[in-house]
Amino acid sequence: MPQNDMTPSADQSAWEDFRKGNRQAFERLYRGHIHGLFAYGMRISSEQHVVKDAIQDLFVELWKGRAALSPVRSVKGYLLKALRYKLLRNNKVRTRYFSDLPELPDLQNIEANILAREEESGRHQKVRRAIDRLPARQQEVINLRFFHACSTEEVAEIMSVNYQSAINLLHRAIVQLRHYLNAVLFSLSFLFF
Amino acid sequence: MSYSQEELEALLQNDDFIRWVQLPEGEEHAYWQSWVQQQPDRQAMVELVRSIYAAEQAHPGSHDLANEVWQAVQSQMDTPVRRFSWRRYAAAAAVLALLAAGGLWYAFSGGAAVQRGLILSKKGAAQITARNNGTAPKTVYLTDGTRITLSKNSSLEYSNLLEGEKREVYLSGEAFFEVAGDAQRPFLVYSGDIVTKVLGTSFRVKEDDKITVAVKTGKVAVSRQKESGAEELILLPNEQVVFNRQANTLNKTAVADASLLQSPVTSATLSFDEAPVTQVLDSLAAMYTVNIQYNRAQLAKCMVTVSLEQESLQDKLEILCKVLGATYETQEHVIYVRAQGCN
Repeated sequence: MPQNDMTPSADQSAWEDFRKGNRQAFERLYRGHIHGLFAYGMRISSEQHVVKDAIQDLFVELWKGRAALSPVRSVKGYLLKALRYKLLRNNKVRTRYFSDLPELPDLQNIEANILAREEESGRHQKVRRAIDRLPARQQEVINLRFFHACSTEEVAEIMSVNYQSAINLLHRAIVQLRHYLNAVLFSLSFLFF
Repeated sequence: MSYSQEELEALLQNDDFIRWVQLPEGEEHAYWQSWVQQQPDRQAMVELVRSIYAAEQAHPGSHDLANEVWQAVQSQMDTPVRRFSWRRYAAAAAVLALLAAGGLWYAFSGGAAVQRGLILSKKGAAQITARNNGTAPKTVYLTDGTRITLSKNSSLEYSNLLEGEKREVYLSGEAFFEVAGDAQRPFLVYSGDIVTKVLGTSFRVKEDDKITVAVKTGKVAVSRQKESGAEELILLPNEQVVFNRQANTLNKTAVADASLLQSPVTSATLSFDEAPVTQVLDSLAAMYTVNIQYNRAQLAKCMVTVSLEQESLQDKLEILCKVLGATYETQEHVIYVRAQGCN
């Protein structure tokens, strides 16, 4: 997948080498997945330092616990699910995540985001902001489906919900997103005919 | 927006579509291009998905962040795992617990699966080693319906029992056995120098400086391993035998320590409510450390509501197959489930 520098088979061999204690393989896994993990984590928590800490802890624990790890069917799926599990152990993150309420604009965040994203094109920025406004679980499902290109089965697995719930959640997210974009961005005429 | 709910859902589930939107090239490019042109609002959908992808992709500062976190990870890779640090311990336990609970999905039946301190590893097609590194007793499920609750620091070697005539397990440490009845296949527990033979019963074997076998229900026969046809002691409920290694004696008495006969609390129930049958099969594969093969794409949409308790694996599979209108067979230690699939 484009956002992941590693093909699934390269992933598998890196995972096997890493389990045997190979540091280069471990770094390859890290480099191959860090951007995807970060993008995903931010959809669950939205606080950068929380996501950074969780990713750091996750990789340290993976390295130290490597002897007890199993082969996995999908390295990406495993890492996403592990990060999710880690983030949701944090009470504050969990409360926000399960509230299912639309996000309130966080002034500090908006300022930081404007600075950071000045170079981003207007369209991406607007879509991003609209996604930011969705409830956390809808943000998450969008991230998994469209950014990570997970299949619906994988989305359901990672989020620990059944297949139909995953479909429903994704559907709600898209309808809501189009609603936001339609209301805010009528100027984006190419989106809506 | 004239999308019907069904159309939108179908599109959102179409992996080919998502792949093409991300990377508009390849064999299917022409097909999707003409598909888009058929209706104007399809273009809108493509653009929306493409924007989502691009927007999620461009994470500002992500590169610096990757290096920063990597530095931090590296600095901690070689520090020894600190003992008595609760935070560390809890965090490590979290990852391991994940492997067991949610991670049943990802724990591949071909290798070692970790279950909150219980490590199951596979040797060859059929041999399994279970080791309890946790602090509480852990239950191992055998495919014949037998449950063995391993005390901490104990391990058990056994086969998946899918084929073959004998039921033999090798224990080091302590365990409580609840053996499923099967008159055709006696159950043999090897521990240290002695062997305990049962037909269907519950009892405990404890191996330390001496070896104790205490019977709760049923009837077991205990003998020394080396001498075949040698002294065999029959134990009835509430009886125990203690093997003294130094004196090389077997002493039969009433059970002195009642705690030896306490059944561990086990919950063997696998309960699923409208879950994909693939999840049920994967859970069974992980629970029994067996290899179950099936067509994932075909079965992913089959939802089942089922509660499986103390049956043997075979009985559980038969229940599932009835629900699905499917069949299963075992070949060379691999279980193949064949079904029509669902819509």
